[in-house]
Amino acid sequence: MSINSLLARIAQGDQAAVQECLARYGGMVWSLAIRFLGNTAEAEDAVQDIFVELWKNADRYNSALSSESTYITMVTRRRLIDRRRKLGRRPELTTLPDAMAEPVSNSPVARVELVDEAAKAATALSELRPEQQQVLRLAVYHGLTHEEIARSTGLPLGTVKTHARRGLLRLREILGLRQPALSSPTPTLVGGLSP
Amino acid sequence: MNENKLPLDHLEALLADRALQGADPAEQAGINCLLKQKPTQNSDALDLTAAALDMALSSNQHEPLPAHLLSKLQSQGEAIVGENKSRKVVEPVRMEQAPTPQPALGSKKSLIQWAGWAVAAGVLIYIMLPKPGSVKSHELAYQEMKDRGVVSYPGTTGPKAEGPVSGEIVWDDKTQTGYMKLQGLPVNDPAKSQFQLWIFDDRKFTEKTPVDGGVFDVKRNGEVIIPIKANIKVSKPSLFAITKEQPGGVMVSDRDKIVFVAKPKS
Repeated sequence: MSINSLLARIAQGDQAAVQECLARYGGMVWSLAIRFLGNTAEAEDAVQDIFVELWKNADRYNSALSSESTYITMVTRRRLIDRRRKLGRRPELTTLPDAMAEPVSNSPVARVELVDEAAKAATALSELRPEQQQVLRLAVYHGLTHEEIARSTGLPLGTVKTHARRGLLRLREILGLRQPALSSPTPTLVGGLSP
Repeated sequence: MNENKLPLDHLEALLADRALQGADPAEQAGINCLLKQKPTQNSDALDLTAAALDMALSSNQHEPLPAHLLSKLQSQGEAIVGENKSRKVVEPVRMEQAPTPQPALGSKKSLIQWAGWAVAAGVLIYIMLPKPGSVKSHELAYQEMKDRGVVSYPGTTGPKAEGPVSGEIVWDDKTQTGYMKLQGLPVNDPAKSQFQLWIFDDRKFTEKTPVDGGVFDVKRNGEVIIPIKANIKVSKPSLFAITKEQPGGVMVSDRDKIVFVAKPKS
């Protein structure tokens, strides 16, 4: 864990890092929650859960594996996906598939502000097949299930799954995120074994 | 050859699906099972990839947190960080061996469920980080504790021990400290496995809620004495158990991984 990372400082008990963490990532987490859940009350609840988890487990962040913002986005996405699955619903879509196929942020200004991995991901995405790009945009940004993507695009379900999986694996290769195994168990997905 | 016709690795397909759509307990159990067969697989890599892509596709003009939520989060954060500050890292001690610090022991990372037993959140016991040169003092402290007549828990070999394991745990309810004196636990490779202590408390917890005691290593054959300190009060432990787990501990452990069990002397 990087000495300078906010999570490293929080793990060490640095109170000032809390405010900095909220200033740096609060808007990002909040915006993700609103996008995933589409409900302010639900989003507020989710954001509290996410930050509490991040702070309590601040020592889990490994700067060798990703940037801090990517890690926080990962934890946030996991929690929001879990919550949405539990709720059994998703925000109503108000745009058509064609409109959803384009990334929200394309401006050069926005690009230079992206962290390295996100900037690489944006570039790498453009190297994928058009159908893989479309499926990944719908899955990652708009949060559609494979079935919903199949209905929206008219592609067979199996094809959607293949595009999503292969596209993501290809992006991982380009981003160089194939690192040695983490030592900690995946926190979101605790499956109790029968005693 | 068309890449779409190449067979997808089953585990990677499951991890990709999880990164994009999450996983229910059954799906996650399948992933966990396959991960055990591929210990070098970074189970987070595709989740991180999806996160990076999400950031790339998202606008950088994020909406600010609502003021009342920001205020609430700041209060919560300061309280949590205060708790983080009070946490101590843990390290096992061998009697003849100078101790070396070990990261993240007893941290939230190893807050555990064991064989379907849900661990009470926030309840941890820490194996204390000894000061350099304190090995001898641990032995003396262990003996002093025994002389004071604190409760002792003679141990026996667990079902999954590689050989006979013997030893004793002494525990002082008043000071909330104790010692494990163990013999026969094999040397472990921390990159492959670590030992994990569990404590069962008759009053606060049931069999389904053991307290995670953190992980530790055995670096050489022979007798080891490992100090324990409760960060949160534990009343009348009814059983101590040690399992052998993956590095860093586990979220769920099988009962059949028990290598040592200690019960109070009747």
